Amino acid sequence: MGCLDRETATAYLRGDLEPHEAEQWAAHLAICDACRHVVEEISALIDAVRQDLMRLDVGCDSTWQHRQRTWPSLERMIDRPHREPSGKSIGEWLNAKTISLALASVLFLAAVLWVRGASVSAAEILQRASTAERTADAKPGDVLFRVVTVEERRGTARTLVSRRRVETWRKTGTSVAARRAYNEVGRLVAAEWIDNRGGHTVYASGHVPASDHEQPVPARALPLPARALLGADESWRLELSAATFSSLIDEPASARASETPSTIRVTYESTTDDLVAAALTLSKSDLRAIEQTVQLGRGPESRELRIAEDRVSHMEPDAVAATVFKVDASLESPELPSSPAIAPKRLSDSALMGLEVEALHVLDGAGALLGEQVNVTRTPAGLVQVDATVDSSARKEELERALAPLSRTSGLHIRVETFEAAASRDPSRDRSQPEQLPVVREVEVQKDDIPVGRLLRDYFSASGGDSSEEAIAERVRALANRAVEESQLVVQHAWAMKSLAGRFRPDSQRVLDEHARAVWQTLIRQHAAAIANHGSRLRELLQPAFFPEEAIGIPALGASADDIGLAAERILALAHTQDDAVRAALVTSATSSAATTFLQTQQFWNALTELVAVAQRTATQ
Amino acid sequence: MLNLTRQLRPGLESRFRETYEAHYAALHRYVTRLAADASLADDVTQEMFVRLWKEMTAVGEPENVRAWLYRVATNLVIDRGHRHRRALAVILPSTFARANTPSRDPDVERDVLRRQIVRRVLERLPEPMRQCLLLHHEGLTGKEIALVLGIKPSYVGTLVLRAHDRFRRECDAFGGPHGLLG
Repeated sequence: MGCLDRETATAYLRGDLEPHEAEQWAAHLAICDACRHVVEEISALIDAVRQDLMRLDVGCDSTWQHRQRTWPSLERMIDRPHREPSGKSIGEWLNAKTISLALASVLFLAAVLWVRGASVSAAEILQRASTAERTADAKPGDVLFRVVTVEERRGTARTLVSRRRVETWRKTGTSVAARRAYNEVGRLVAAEWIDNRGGHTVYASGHVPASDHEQPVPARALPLPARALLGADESWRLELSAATFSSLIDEPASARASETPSTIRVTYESTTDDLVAAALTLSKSDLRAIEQTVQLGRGPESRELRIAEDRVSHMEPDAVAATVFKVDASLESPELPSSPAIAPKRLSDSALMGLEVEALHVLDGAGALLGEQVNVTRTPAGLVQVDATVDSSARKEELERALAPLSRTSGLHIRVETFEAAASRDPSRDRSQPEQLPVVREVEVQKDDIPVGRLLRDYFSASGGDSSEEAIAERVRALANRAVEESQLVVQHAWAMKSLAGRFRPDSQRVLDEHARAVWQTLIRQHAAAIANHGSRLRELLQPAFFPEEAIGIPALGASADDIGLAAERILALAHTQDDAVRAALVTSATSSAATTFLQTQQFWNALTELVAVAQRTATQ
Repeated sequence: MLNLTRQLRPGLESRFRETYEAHYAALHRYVTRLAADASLADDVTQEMFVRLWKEMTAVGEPENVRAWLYRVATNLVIDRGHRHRRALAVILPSTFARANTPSRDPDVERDVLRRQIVRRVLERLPEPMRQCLLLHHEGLTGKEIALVLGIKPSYVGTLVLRAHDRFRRECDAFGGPHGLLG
């Protein structure tokens, strides 16, 4: 036996070596000074790093409090795993239907065990899983609710480019289904309805912009083969199922299967196909598909789609509102009545503020603090009044759904209405005031039409890659679109942060109970983090072309004694400054012909850098 | 299927509670160190246990629940993209003290500065070196670290050592005993 190398010494210290090996080294260390020295050196190194890491835990003594706060919400989840059909007793569950389901599970289990015992092929597993899906789907009289996350990543670094939450409602035994895709802030971005004859209605898929004054128009669409849904615009419609997976891969026979204690994983690779790899994970208990990944293309142009199940529940049809299967109201029907006010019981100031924070929390979770006209106020009569004016009835329904758990709370009055309804009731409001409406801007960049178009084209032609005119125009367009989008998100979050931060004055902050204050501060910090995040992305987008000399790093600001309200105001001012500059330079304009835009100046870069730095500090303070 | 798990639930619930009590604090610390964001840590830790409960009711308790939790935590932090890749900005002790610390006590100043340096050096460690370093200090076994990071168990010792070496080197270069804090 020779002497210890540093790697083995580390494994020895960690206790990762096999017992006999560790004993041999222990004996060797007793006689070898050099090796003992190596072990001591590494041990001291690890100790010093431990001391350093412990510095990071300073100020984290809220862990205990958070743990105490977290448990009750987890406990509620345990009591009520599926929100909708809650409160059934064991007796109710032991009805004929349950027993038949249980029998079905036993059969599935037997099938799985048989699959394991006989080590069948991946193709066979896929076929059985597809059969199991068909059987479960064909059973009439049930409503299946399933939530999946669809993520798309691009390039070799697998950068996340989009994440959608997709909710599907399906009436088993029929073809009736509704699928809704929500973006990261919980806004409905696309939807599909399938009627009882299999007819599909799809709206607002992918990048088709829903302009601010136009209602999205539903279009009749044909059901598409799974392969056609792999595009970025359609991927939210992909079904997470063994049948879909089988239809995606060319040769099921070349797929392979492996297993873990709880799942079976089927993988597929191809060297000839555009679809280079795919994997499907099935739950062993019922052969249900729970995750699917598809990789398309290789290298920098590659795309990866991942669909993972977050939640699934079976419901009695009676427990499900009929509206979930209907085309969302904005597309055809007039207003639904608002939630009725409930006779309030006078609440204490602290309880009232707690309620106010709770309402803000829910609204923020639904993305309603980002640009929508939402007012949450405490009235002199001791009520919390939520007033929201939204741009479509679909959005109104979404908000009402989000606020539903609070709507029965005594002391809270909720009114959500569409802009049209508000304008027709109140003549003083004029639709032509754009600042009252969040406007989704889609930048259209043609060849010569943005103020910094020439600069960007020069930059991209010099930077290598495809130098055809179309390719360069496409890159300019992509950069402009992304920059405007990031900039607008910064402004929206800055407004949300400002409105939250200015809500409680220091004297009333003292009245807030501890939980409410923590929720309030977290909401503010989350918006600050989002501002820092989008601002950083904006800097990364603009730096190579406009500020190649500047460092991309953000100078860290130290802690500040400033009131959070002041920080929010500063951030908002900076956010508007940069957004004006970004739009002046990157949005198509007939009038602008300035030789140099503000975007290209040092002041702009400094303002953007300060914005990110202040937001980062607020987010971590 | 769902119904069967319901009847098994009382046992599941107490297992879940035990797991929560046993791992909450360590996981929270790990996520805070990894994400550099206490509010994100609260959020992620809570979501992790929500996922654990779903896993337990849908497919059963994971085989190695600790490794499972750390893996979910690691992925959640990465997915949320809350890690800001910050460049190693130079912080001079004098400006730092003037601008930020009400106290002029040199020991306090040094502590704060040292913490900033540790945070930045940690952020600069490449993946999965950073995770490996933190997982080592959470006391995970070689097999567990391998499971969390998807690497070979035989590589864990090497990665742990390289992470420590690099961490020490960067700290020293930036503000260690011979640098700003010397």
